[in-house]
Amino acid sequence: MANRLGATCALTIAVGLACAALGSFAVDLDPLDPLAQPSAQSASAPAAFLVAATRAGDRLVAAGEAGVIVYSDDNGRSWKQARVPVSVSITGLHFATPTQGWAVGHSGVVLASGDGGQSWTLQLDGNRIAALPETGGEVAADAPPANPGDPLLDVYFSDPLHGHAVGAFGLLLSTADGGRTWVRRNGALPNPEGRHLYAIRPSGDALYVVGESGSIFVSHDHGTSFARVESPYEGSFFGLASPRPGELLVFGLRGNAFHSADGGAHWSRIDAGTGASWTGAALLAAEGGQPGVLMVSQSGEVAVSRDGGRSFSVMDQRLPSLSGVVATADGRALATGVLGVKAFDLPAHAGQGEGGQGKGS
Amino acid sequence: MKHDIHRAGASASDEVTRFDARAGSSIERLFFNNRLWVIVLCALLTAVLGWQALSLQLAASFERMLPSNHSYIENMRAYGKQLAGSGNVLRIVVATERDSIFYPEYMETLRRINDEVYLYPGVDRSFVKSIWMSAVRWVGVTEEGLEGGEVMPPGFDGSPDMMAQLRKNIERSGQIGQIVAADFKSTVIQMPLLDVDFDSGKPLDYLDMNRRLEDLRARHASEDVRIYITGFAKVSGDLMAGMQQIIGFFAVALGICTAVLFWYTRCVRSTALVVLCSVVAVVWLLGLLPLLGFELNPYSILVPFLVFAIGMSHGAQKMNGIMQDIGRGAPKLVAARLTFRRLFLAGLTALLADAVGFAVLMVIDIPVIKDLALAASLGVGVLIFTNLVLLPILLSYTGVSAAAAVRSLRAEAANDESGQAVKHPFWAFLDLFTERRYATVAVVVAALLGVAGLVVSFELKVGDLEAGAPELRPDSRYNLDNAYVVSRYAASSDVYTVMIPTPKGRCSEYATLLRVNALESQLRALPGVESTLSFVGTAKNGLVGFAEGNPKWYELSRDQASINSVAQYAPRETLDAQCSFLTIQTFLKDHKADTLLSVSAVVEAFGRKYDSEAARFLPAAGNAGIEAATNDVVRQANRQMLALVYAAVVLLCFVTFRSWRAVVCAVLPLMLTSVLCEALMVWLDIGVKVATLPVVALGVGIGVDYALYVLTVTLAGLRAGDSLSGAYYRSLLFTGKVVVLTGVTLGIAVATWAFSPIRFQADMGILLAFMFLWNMLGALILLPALGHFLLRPAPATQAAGADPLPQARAA
Repeated sequence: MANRLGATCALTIAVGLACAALGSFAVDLDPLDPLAQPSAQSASAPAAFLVAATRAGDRLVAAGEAGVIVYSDDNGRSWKQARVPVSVSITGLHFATPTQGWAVGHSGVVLASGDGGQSWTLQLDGNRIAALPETGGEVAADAPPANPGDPLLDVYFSDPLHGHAVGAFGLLLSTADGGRTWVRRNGALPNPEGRHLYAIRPSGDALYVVGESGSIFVSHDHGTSFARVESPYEGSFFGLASPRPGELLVFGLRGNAFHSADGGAHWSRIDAGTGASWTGAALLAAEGGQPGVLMVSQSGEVAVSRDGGRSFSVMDQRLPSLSGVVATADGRALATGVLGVKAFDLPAHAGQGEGGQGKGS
Repeated sequence: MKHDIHRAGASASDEVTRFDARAGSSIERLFFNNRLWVIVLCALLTAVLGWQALSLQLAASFERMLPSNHSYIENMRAYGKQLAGSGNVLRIVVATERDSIFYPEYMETLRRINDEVYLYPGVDRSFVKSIWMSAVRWVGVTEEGLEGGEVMPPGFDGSPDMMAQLRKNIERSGQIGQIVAADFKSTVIQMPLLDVDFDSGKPLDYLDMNRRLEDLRARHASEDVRIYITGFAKVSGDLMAGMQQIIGFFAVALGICTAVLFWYTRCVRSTALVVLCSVVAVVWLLGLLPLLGFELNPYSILVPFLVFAIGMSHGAQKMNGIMQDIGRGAPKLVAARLTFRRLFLAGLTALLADAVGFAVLMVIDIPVIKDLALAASLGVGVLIFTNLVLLPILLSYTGVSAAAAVRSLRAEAANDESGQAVKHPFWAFLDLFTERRYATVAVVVAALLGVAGLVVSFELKVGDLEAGAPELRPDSRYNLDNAYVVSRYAASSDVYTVMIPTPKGRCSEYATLLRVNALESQLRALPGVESTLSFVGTAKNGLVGFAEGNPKWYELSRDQASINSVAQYAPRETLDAQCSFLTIQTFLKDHKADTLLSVSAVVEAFGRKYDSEAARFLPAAGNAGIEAATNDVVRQANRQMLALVYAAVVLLCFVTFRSWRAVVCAVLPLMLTSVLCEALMVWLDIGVKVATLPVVALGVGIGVDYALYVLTVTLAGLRAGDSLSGAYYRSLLFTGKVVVLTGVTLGIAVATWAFSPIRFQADMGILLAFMFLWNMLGALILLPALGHFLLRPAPATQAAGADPLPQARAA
């Protein structure tokens, strides 16, 4: 309890208000604090800076700045804005079922939805995270304490009960009861420098986490413990995708992307001809046995792979800076970025794999 | 009826024969007994003031167009130093016809243009932005963190490597859509202007600036390179350049008025004198303005024309009176004196009403309108001498052509000869409105029009209703340039800046930035807002930058140190050097009044709720902020001004007529015209703004002239015991004719402005033409109709009282 009060005080000092030593959490917050303010409803919400995009069944869901979460039931033609109790930036989305999904964001926010993303409730925030005891194993004694303002950066639920969220400075949270209670398990990852963890996704039975400075971790026990995977690159990875069980695509800073067909033992470099950072990826429906993959870049490029992520070609269209992408139910794709949502047609299948060749490493 | 007319004609003749030179007011004796001196004095004045008029300057001062006492403008002035470069900004877009701007010749052309305009007088050099300016920087993200530098690579030599570097720098500078177009086919040189040139201390010469810019365009535009220029200075410059065309239209209007007057009188002498006296009035006015330290701005350029128009109206009345008296056989001097005696008071009252009407415009707290009001009042004051005094005196020397004089009485003569009530059909038709049936119809129709007009006029908007510069035509060079810029750059040309003063060094506190962020998102949610720019955006992007460019970090950090470390990358217009002042620049889709109102409402409400010692949220700077303040002032002043104009007109009418019933007859038709004019503005999509506001006031001021001339004569007839019909018919033949004449000529003359390339002149021309014509109809149809219900002939005994009009004497 003392720990939690201390954290609250630290936050209130940070926002420039006198710290009331006693009193409830909500009273201490600035009335305009993004944890105290519900996300504003706005007609221009689909044009907000939307960082993440995903599917809940056939429904498209996108989320981003100021707690904006929008959803579309007509493959991106029209959008509605969800009711969200906070206005922090949302960084990651995942639906375990077409109705049950989670969103994570800044200030350690975890949101849950039971209606396919139409309405969200707050399950966790940074102040409560800071008060969680570390249970993940031996953490270095000089590891910085969790700061209530630090963001969560991605979330993944294998089923409606079991999920993990990863975040800045090596934060790893796990739940076994659908997010009602969480444990902090930074120590489950061999991450003594406390690198930011940007993405968590499965490949077959394995669970992968990628992050800052070339970090790649794998868990073969559903997230109980992680091991470090030897990295093909020392720069940061912003995301990962798994076209098929055991096959991995990791991507990130300055156009760096790597493909592995053996769960990370060997990597081949993907040269799609761009120097901009890859920020998001999405799987497409398999065509002729080979799943397709889309990647989007910070400078608005969209790259398509028709050979399971081994090679990519950059599409002609150039969009504003992008950060999320997802396949739509009608065979098109939806990208999100600084200027909001943008649905687009995929190039004809015939032109597969023209742009870049996978090179052995 | 027959008797009335017979007597009226005879009475004038009687008076002519019995004229006594010693009679008349002391004013009349003063002028007419020193006729030569009056002429000499006027000639001297004309020479001196004409010489003075040559030094009259055209100017369009930005400062003088601001409503200086409005709280927004006071805020803007208070923080003028920190705001530098947010109001009066000139944008020069240099576009290429090739695939992109990245080739050496383009860069060289851009550099030469940049270096040239940088040195123009009045440019606020420290805030000039273009890719050639070192103040324009990029921020980049690498594995190591943030990097930054000038967008133009040091030692740029046009080589492909450097070109690639430049393109990369531009891409990470955040200037795409700001000073570089997203299609890489153009860039902007953005130059804030100071109203006073820093080097010379002289006010910025917009005409000179415009010449420089057009010369620049002519020299640098080529097959490859196109130049588009927008900004207040360019609008002003274009307007001033367009004033030559205004002068052209002035000449056309003058020509038409002269031609119609001649067609009416068939007398070269008198036509020439009326025009001469009106021109003399304009010369005096133009000479007095520089003497009193005034300049002609694109708004007050209208005043000389109005003065001329009003002068023609009064001059024609005087000339007509003299002509008729000469026709009745009076010597020219006697005719002039009689007319002076009869019409001086009516003319004086009318001119005073005009002068007061214009002076009332001074309630609008915008210097250019005060200038316009003062110039117009001055001009009308001048007319008292030139057209009420000088003209009759000149006519007393020249007389009129005998044939014209006879002709002028034809309507009366016809009746006399036939011995029957054969009236001129047109005047007879107007006379019908003094009868119950026609009067009822006229009043009912007027009431219906009034109600319908009133309903429509509630839709009247304040401010500019169209994109671009509404002073100019939608297809003008400027507005095409503006459309080009708006379509290719995210930053629209309509910027509403919120000023946020904070204690020194505390501008970046998290709590303050939370408020800035909240206000920004409220503003962005408005339908009229395109985007916003503030330090919060920089801070959010800064966090992304610190995190190697990962968009997941796009958030306002709670960590004060990381916020502070971003401050150095903030655009200068969002944050001052002492960290004591922030701005939110709101880029609007348009500058319609509703858009501006919605923004102001949000900002003011936010300020009321969240202003604190740590930060205040003040409207408004930027061109749209200024326009919001102007609209506010115009909106308030509009009703207030109309109320004052009518109060003044009612008072003057009462002083003249000494009858409330007569005041109602004179003023109700004017009110109908005012209401219908507002309805017309709604129909034509013209908003009340600086340029059109005066039109409504002028309409009332000039409209009352007609009523004064018609009603003065009619009332005199009634007081002499005539029936309303008789008195009115007489006034039609005497002054009514000229009311028709001037109404029609002025209407036609200003209607020619509809062809003006300058939009607001066309609007004003249409509105003024409408008001001139409708006021004329009001005075000729509605006035007698109201008279039927309100005015009664006086009992015979009262008619013998002192009355300046001839038939009164005869009675």
